[in-house]
Amino acid sequence: MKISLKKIKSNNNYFNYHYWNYPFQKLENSIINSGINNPITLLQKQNELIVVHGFRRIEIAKKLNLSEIHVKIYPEEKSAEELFKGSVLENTVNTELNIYEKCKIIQILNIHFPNFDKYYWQKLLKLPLDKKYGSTINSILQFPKEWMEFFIDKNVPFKRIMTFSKIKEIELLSKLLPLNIGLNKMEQIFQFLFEISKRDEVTVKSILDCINYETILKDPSIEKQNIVTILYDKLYNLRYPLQSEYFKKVDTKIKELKPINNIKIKYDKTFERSGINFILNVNSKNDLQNSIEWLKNNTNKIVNITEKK
Amino acid sequence: MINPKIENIYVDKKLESKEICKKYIAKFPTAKLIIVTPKEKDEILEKVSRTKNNILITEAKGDIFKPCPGTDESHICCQYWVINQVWNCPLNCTYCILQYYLKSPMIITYINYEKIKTEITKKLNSEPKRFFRIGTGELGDSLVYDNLNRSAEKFIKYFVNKNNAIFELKTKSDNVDHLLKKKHNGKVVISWSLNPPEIIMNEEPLSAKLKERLAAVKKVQNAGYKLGFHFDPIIYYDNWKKGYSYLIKELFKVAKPENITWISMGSLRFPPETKDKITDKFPKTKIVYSEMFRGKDNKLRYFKPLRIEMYKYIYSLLCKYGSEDLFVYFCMEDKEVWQEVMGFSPENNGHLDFLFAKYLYNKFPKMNIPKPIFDSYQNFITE
Repeated sequence: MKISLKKIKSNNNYFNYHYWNYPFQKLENSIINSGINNPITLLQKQNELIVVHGFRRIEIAKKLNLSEIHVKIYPEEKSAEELFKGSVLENTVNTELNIYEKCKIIQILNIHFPNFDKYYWQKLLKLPLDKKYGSTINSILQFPKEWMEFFIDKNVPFKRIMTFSKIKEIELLSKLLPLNIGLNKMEQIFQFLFEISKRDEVTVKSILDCINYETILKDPSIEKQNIVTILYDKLYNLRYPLQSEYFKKVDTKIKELKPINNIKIKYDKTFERSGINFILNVNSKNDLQNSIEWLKNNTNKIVNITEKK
Repeated sequence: MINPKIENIYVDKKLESKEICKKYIAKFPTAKLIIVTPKEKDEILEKVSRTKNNILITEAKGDIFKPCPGTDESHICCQYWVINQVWNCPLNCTYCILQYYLKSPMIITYINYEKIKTEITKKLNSEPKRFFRIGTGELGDSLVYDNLNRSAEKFIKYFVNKNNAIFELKTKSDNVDHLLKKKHNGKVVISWSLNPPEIIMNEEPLSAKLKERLAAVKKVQNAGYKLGFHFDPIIYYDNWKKGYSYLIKELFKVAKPENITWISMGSLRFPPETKDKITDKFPKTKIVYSEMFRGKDNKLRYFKPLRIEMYKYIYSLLCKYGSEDLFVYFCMEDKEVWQEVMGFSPENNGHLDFLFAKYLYNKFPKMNIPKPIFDSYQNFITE
């Protein structure tokens, strides 16, 4: 049946879990060409019509100034949970829902159907639903728009978003987004911030001040691609001060050795595996003789390089 | 010490009339007693809540007596033997791997002692010239519920006449009174895992306080038991030097070096995936935020130079306030750490096993330990 679009109130959003970055144009074109073939699912609740499925179609219909819309109205006795489940299932047939939508669905289930079948939804949404993840789900739904788009764009899985959700002051870090940092590096930056703040009982803001975050971002003399490295290194030094200091000393000693061109020096930067590896690139007898000569001349300096004091 | 609560006591149907069940019910009158069939038992082990303290009294099917799993070959292990008669622990120390490692969170007590003793006898008889160090504290605390279980006394009685073994009860409790009058013939070591008071308060809050542990040390020493101490896990924190210095001074006000069989040192370590589990379960703990890196066995450990510094400091205190003649060893460390701290390293696991036997043979001649031969310890079977 068709009803007037005006009968559907605009604040009727109980079951709306969509994140509005959906590629509307395709759906809009389809509606312009063929109309709304798949009826909107409505649930009659006393005098109100509750939208269960079809929010995007309603949005486009309003945009196109359609006066009527094709709907299917279910009587009050029909289980709203079943209808909602049907809506989610229909949307997951061809595409996977993004993280916002998944979290929003959980929020809707918790509010309207608190006794929902956790096992079923966990499998459908591929989301852990233990109690301990409740606060993460709430945090994700509170993320600023720019961060939500970052996660959706990079298709970041729930468990990895958890690292980001630990930082309550996430908007302070929004200035990192235009720097096109990869997910791994971004995640590590967040992890460092979280762990330093826990360890030292300080705010993220004070850590950022300590590494001159704002100044570095604004410094015109620093090239964009170097900003991330500078910030990352500063955070790493704060997170691992002993190892950083030790590494710096060893690295200085190695630089002082000034190895000849065909010798490369490698070592385990965590110092768990002892010793230094000297890789000799030998193409001739001369190369080999020079390398051995260099090693002989630097024996005393080499043996003390990784001494653990 | 705070008595951990037990909420459910599950008992294997065929054991319901045993004395131990009555003791548990008397100790925890508010706990629910649930009699289970073998099939129900398997289901419970899978499903029981991780947030509740549940205990299962049952009989073991598989082997209970095993070599300590240690860690991979890049580290030196001491070839200790374990009796896994108790699984899991109610003490909930923040760093304890058992909470994350054992499949079931339930505390399991196996009470088919005859089967366990048969397994041990078979091994002891198969290598009569080897000296075995055997203990029950690998997958649980040896004594925390022992006043109910009364397992220790059964094993003590068994080991009294064994010349090629010494039995260790390892604990963080002060639950020793029931053992003080037992005949042990000097074949039993009661040992404590020790940490400074501030670490006990923050990371081991349900275990006995340092003063309580040391009072228990005094009691068992007076009762003629041998002593062992485990500085494991050594935990880094701002005032670690002050903390460990206080701990060691207090320890040697009570423990006499001549009664000490061994002292171990091992720093905090855990598989990387455990880190999130620790913070989930204990959000206030800071132990996971220290400088830790993956070691050769893939476990996270403190930055190696820091570890070495801590070990050197603690080792020097043990020598200073205890004795230079103590047998101090590392649990799960590599040769480099041994060398840097002790000035030598065992060549391999067999060598360390031999060093234990040699030390005890010389220090405690009344124990009638078979004279250790280095070459033999290279060939004993530990699997």
